[in-house]
Amino acid sequence: MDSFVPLWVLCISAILIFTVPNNFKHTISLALVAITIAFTSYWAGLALFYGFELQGLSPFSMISGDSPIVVDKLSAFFILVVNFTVLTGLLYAKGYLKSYLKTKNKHLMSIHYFSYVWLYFSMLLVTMVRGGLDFLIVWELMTISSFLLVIFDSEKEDILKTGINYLIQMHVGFLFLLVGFLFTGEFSGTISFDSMGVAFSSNELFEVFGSHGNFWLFLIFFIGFGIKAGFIPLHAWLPHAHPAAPSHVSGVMSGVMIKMGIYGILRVLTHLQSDWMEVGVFILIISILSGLYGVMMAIVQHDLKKLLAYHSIENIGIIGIGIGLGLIGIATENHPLAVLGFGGGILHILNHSLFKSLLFYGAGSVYKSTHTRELNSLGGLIKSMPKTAIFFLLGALAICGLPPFNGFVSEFLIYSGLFKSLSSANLNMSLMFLGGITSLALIGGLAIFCFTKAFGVVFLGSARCEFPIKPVEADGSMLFSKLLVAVVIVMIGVLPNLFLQPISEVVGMFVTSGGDVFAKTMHTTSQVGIISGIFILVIVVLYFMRKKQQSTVAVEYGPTWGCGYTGADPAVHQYTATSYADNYKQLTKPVVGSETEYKSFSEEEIFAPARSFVSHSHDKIEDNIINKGIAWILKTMERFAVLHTGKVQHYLIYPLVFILTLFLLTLLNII
Amino acid sequence: MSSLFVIIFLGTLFYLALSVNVKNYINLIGIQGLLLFGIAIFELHELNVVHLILILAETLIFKGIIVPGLLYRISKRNKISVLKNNKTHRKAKGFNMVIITALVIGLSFVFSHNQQDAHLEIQYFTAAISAMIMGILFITVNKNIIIHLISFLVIENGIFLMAIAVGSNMPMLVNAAILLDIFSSVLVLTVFLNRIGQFFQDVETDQLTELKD
Amino acid sequence: MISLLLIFIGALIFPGLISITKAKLSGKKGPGIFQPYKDILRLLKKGSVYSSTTSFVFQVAPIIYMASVLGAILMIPFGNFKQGLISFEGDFLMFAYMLAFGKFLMIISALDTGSGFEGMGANREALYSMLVEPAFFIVLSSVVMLSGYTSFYEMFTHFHVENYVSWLYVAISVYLLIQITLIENSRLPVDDPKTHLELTMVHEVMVLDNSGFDLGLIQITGALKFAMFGALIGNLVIPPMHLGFELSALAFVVIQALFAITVGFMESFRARLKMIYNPQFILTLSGIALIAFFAVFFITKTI
Repeated sequence: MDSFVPLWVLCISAILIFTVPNNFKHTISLALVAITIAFTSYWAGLALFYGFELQGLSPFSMISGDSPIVVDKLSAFFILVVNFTVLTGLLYAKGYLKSYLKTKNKHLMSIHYFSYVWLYFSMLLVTMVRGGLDFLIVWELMTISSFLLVIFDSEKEDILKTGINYLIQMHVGFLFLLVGFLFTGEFSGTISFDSMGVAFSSNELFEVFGSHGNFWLFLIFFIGFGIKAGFIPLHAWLPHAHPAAPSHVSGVMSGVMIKMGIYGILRVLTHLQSDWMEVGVFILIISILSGLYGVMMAIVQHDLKKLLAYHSIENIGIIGIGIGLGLIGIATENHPLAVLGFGGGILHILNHSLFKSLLFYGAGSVYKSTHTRELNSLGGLIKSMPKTAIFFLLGALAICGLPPFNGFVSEFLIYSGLFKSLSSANLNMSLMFLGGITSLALIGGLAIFCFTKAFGVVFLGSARCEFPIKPVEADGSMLFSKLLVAVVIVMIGVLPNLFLQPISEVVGMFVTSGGDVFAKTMHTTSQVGIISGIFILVIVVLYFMRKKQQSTVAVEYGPTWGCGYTGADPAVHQYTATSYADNYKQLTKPVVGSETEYKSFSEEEIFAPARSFVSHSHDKIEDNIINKGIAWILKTMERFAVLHTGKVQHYLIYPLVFILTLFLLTLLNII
Repeated sequence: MSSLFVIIFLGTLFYLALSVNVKNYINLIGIQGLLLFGIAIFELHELNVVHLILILAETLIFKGIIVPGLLYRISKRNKISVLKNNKTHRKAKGFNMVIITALVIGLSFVFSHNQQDAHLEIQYFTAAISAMIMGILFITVNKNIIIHLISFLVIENGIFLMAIAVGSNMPMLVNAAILLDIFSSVLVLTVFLNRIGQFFQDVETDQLTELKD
Repeated sequence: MISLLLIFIGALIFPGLISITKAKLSGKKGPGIFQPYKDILRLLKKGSVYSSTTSFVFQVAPIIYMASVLGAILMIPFGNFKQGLISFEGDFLMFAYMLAFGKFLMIISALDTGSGFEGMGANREALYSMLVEPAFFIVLSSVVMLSGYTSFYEMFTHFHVENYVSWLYVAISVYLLIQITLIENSRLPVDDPKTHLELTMVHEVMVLDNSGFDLGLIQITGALKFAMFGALIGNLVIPPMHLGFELSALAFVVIQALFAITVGFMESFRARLKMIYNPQFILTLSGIALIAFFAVFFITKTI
């Protein structure tokens, strides 16, 4: 317990936030977070680079028996990812929350900062604790603190509703985890991650679940963790909760909190004893579907943050593709595939946490200066917010997986794994790999479609409507945190090997004999760095060539070419987000469920009145699973509402009936 | 060599799925007949001479020449060149048809590969299954009576390939029966349309249903 | 290096050959082979007019577009003789994504002008390039399947053509690559570079506001892109013919020329597709690519 004492002290001292005035709350939370980062990063570094795993006892040991806390390589990786995003999120929050200081009272701010810091602590603990009960406790803490963060703007009615929706769905996931852990305890004797290996190989498991017991027990955990991670069809909370939360919270939630689901899945996978193939194929298929569905839905969104939220589903899909391939690689003893699959998946966890938080911060800056997230009323912001625009563009390029940014490196690893194993596999596997390749390519193309739309409509062209307050460039602290993220994004893109070394340590937990594969891959990725360098060099050379040429000739500025007519307002003629997605919507109507409301002109109308055109799209999975399910539950519950008469006499009859029934049943020896 | 024909055969299925032109459909049926002729030459050379000649005659003359010729006559006399009112080919529907065809071919490929039968010729089996499924699919999504006829011919081609795939030729009697079926349907339709074609602008099944009243 | 040189030669004759072919087929005398380059040279000397709606994105996009294509060319080998300047396992991924980067910038630069026409062109370009992506990757996968290697150079070196089916496979792949090239370069079945109506344009309408040096760069890039795909086709066809080094180099150029003439022929005898049929046309290429992929199984006798 001793080495973890600083962490407990820090956890408790979070209460300090309640005692200081509004202006210092940010500073003190930043100090707390910074100290924690220093400690935990040190522990993580020890584990990742020196192989020294810090161990201790959890404070819950008094209730749950001796349960350890261990910082191993997997935890260390996640700790580092969490640390970075939480830090940039908090830096960003300073500027973002500035305007709220006037409208929110002291306690609300305290609760917000307190839950932010506690979200951080609980995420750290999730990656460290090993006991099942402890894990469930910190998992629940994470859910509650993120719930409090989501409902920050709870004056708006729908935000509270979204928050409660989130809370309920998380608890459905919690239920599955509980069931999973109880099974583990039943089969192995103790409820913890460490005993999972015993549970997965125990005879009882196979008696209960049949010969593919490992798969079924894993499936229970997968549903529990998958709701957090946002695999389809478990994703329904995600597109609502992210837009509702303040942007730094969305960044942290989408960047790292949903990755805790992935952490859980990876942790369970380390203990899997058989059925690698089944689990791998299952994860691969679910992930391909998540990736495609996420990005397909993202394109038809009008709300900038909702669009980004759907992209989280897509990226979780890419991570899952990596993990699924890794498992298939283990099952077929194909080491390159296993290493590259896990390597790509795990690297993509880091990458996604970076560019997604960057994009959410960008969306937050846009929202803060225009007070709208509706794409169709934005436009031309690059002139008033050039720096935000550049960072958003960087994030967009990175999320599309374009070189020389970080998204490319992880997708490159996954692709390499797929292509390398294509010719050595049997036919079914080859076709599955081909499916993986094709869908990754399609996801890439769709992401480009989506982000050209998002960036083009929000930042480029001319403004689509007048704002009462002119949009201004974001605050310095907000830009600084974006700069931090951007630097890491470019670093991973240009010098991938720096980051692949630690990743290979993490991958070593899953694949023991893959060292040479990684060495080879690093040789390849260094080439990627070289060609990126040449690319940038060519750009610079061409830029100066043009500069030289243009210094000798006339350079003029004029209106955009308007087909011979420049009288109209150019903003009216621009392509909007809806029109940009229109031809795409026609093609994918069965999937994205888009609908339009428009009454066409009839022959009798000579002087037609003004028309309106509304288009929206439904998440069909959400409609069919969540909404229909809820409707069914409500309907069933209504039948029981007959009992709820409101008269005390009736209520007293119920216990009487109950007691009598019990009495009768015992008399008849039934219970 | 024969896998060459199979690959082209699969390609014709794609073309069939996308075409809106009746002339294309008829040409494709002719090409399929010739491809089957090619396959028969390469696969069935162990057969006795009479059978072989019969089968070759069936594929080359009947499937490759007579049926397309008859269909040409029908379409020419009734002035059907482009499918009108064809919902499957409007806008996004054709797009979906491509995906469906690719799926059908892909799945039948996987399905036939997973058959644990040593005698099965996988390439023919793939082509056979996809042809039959595609034929049924065409009938369900199209209303035009000529397309129905063409789809029957595609299904028949699928059955022919299936017979080759299982490693033996079809019993003579069955073969003849199927042939006769298709042939009579073509004939009946020819006569029928020649007589009444002028009263309809378009040969849609919906309109034909009204006939019985 | 040699492949770079050959691609430059190809790019030099490409646009001229297309326009000569088209002119001859329509009974005109036709321009000289270097006429397109004379036009480009004139453009490079001209001044520029920028729209006041645009930002820096519009200014850097043509440069990055060109750089992306140049970067991609570096990875293309010369048959089985010489690898590209940079060659590593999985370089074709870098190739595809590099091109996508240039395209991304061109699309947002079109949106940057705030013009409805250019938005429309950008949207179509984004949609079509998205749809053509799977076809390209399936073709690449089938070549990887056949050769067992994952870099351009090794793929083409270990690409053996033995029987009829392999030749059919090569034919299908070449057909697909030609169609992909035409779509990527916005040529006929999908887009008509000679159309005069903005509403039916794809690529041309995207660069309406570019002028002077920038427009020159874009046009050179178009020619380079053509030659680059032509080189890919050459790489696919030449190694199985087992020619010597010099003959191969000659064949490389001849294939580029043939490719240009084919494009000219196709454009003379073919009408542009209706816009609503374009997605279906492009997707069909993926379907055909799938058949090519199955053909590989027939060739390698895995089934």
